Amino acid sequence: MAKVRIVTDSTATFEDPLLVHDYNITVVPLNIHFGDRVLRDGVDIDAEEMFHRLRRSPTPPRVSAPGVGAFAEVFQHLSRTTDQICVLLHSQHFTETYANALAARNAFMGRCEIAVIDSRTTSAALGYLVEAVAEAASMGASLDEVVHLARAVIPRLYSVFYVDTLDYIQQADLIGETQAILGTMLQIKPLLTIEDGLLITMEKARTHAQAIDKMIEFVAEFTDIERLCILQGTLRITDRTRMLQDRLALEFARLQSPLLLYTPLLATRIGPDGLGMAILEGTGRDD
Amino acid sequence: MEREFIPSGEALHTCNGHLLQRLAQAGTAWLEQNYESVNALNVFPVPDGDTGTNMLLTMRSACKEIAGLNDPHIGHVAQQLYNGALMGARGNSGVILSQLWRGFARAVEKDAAIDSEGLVRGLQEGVRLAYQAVQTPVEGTMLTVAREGAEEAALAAQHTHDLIAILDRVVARCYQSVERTPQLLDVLAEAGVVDAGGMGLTYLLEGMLRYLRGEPLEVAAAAEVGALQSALTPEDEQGYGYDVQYLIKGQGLDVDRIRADIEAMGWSTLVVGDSNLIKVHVHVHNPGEVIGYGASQGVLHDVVIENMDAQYERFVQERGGPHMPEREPIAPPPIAEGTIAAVTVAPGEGLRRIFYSLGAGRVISGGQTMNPSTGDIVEAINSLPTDKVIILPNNKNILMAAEQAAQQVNGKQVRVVPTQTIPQGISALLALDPHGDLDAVAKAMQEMSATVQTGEVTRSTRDAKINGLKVKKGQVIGLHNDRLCAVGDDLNSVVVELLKKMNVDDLELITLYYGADITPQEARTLAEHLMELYPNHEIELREGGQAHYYYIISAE
Repeated sequence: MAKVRIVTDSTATFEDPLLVHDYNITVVPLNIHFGDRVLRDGVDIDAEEMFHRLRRSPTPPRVSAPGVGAFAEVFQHLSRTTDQICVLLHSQHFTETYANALAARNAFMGRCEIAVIDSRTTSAALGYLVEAVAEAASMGASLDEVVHLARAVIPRLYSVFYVDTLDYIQQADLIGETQAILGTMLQIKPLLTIEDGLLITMEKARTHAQAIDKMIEFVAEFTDIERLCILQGTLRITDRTRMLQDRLALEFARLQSPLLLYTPLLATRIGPDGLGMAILEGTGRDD
Repeated sequence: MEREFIPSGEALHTCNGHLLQRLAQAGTAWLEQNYESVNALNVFPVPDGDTGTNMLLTMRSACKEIAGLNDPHIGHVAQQLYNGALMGARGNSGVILSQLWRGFARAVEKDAAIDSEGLVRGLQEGVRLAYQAVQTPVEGTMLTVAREGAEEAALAAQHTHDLIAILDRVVARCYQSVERTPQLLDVLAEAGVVDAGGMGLTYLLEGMLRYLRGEPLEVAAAAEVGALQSALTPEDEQGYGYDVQYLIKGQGLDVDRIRADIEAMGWSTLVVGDSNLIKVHVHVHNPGEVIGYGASQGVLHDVVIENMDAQYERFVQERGGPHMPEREPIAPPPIAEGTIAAVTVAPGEGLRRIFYSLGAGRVISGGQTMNPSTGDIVEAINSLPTDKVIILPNNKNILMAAEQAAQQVNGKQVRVVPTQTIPQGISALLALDPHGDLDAVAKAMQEMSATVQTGEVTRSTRDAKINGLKVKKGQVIGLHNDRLCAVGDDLNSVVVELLKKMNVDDLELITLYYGADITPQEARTLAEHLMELYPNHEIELREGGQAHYYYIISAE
């Protein structure tokens, strides 16, 4: 029987860029709108270029979901070589991506088994999920087994960010409870987290030092961390990156913390200058 | 009805509810005559919540509670006095005073009247509860004076049962005790003052003694009675009304009847005298009625009528900063049932707006120069549609009133996060998680408040020598976390000097809240100057609107 094929969207970020190739993962690109121009995320424009433009653009770009057709095309293509597809997507609260994938799946009922899963997160946390599931699939796990695995991994995914300015959050419409900080008359650096697929304010800080303290406190609450990465809008090591890396190295000596770019979807929400972390919590078992 | 006490020079062996009522009023009247000298006993030369004013307002509230009461049972009257003192308690001295009444009321609870033994018991129980109310009692304060006064009463009662003789010794001992406070407390010695709360308490007791001896309760011309006379919170829609004072000269005047008649017309009544001369002091809504009545009894002299509403407005203008309570600046954020809401205190419109914008449920107007009462805080807590509340007093002198308020509220869980400054309060509020566990949130807020340095820039209210710095009245002074560390004649230079002393080099963000006396342009000029001095820091400038304090500064 053919192996389960893995599909994700372009908001997933991977520590190892070759992973997509190695596990034969299909990435469906989101659309990035600069005024009238539409570019496919990761195909027509890469993340670095996106951040470059975001910093210069007076009106931030908009991100939209891949259409039903884009998913249908992918399913059509994959169904020639497999009858089991696992689709792992970013939170349905961010875009229509999940809904469009579900709609496309319905056309394939009976021809191909397709599981569409809302990861309730995005970016590197989604990347960790895709990696775990793709690895299992490559070893011959069934669709039921990979779906089961995905459901077990999702609650272990955490993301936390802090941002310098509320401007981007103010323009985005998925703010949920971040509403509480919008009227503020002081410069606030909110710490945001993605919880149940929603970007919410977790805490508020006024200085970088306080924000980094709170990020460290956040990490310190885990007893077992399997993976952790730092997310930024640039691959340059800034003073803040160094502050965070130094603190992580000091307090969690054995923890690796590679630096990754977050994706355009988040960039349009938190701006180009956020600093964050994605965490895959360990299972507490030695495996 | 039993015969009223009339000062006669004879011994007095019992005191009932009627007499206690008179004594409380007389003590308050005497405190009113002297509260400004109590206010002058300020340890730090900064404009802050004046002890004399706070004690006077606390006693006014107590007297208002017993106004019109006609109960000869001393236990009942004492309980009412305590209720009024508690809700009206302002400042730490006011709260301690209310606890003295609480103990007194508890000790005489079942007594219709007390003798010398009852008096001693009441004073001792008051002292016990007052010490209890203070987390770390410090000697050389009002507590010491109250304790030594009670000890003297016990000693005196071994030799005499005459309440007047006992009170005489108590007052004398209180004076000695007050004199001794600088020996017990270094800050008093350094500032060259005696303890203000102890002095206020002594005046209160002395007023009672003067009444018992038939001595006058006015030292100054009535017109000089202080500007803060009527800074009572309005307790009905009619406002504060008028303060009316006059003398009636006549023959065969019936003091008891006139007192009863006057009491029926108003509150805070004080009617003393004899058949030839009666002094009337009353607060009324209709001054015409009480003047007309007086004129019908004899010839009026020294008539003084003061509009207390106007006085109160002036008081608020002068002390509370330019705010207009009727025009709420911004709607407080909606508070959901079951979530944690914060009650806080801030002077000035700008700061109140900032607190609301950060999610405070209720911001009580007040602060350094006008301390809200326990009742004000209780009311704010009760006005919130949730049962979990955290109080941020933002001032040392509001802390005890906040703690009392937390205990007085029924059916709500209330915690006090003891913030001492506005910047601490703002930092604490950032850590408010409305959906969290109350104790965990209070702890997080406390920790967050400790991350900020506070600077305050004001004008010295008197000459002083503190921390090795010589200050002349009127000079600009800078305080770092309540400690005087910069003095000068030029405002901006003092700010710069203060920031140096605050060690802001390793910090990131300096926020300036400019006061009512500073124009936005002046504030911007200073901020630009600071940006040049601290190019790596963020400088944030906000309108605070607070009175007296040119700048409140946070550094973090």
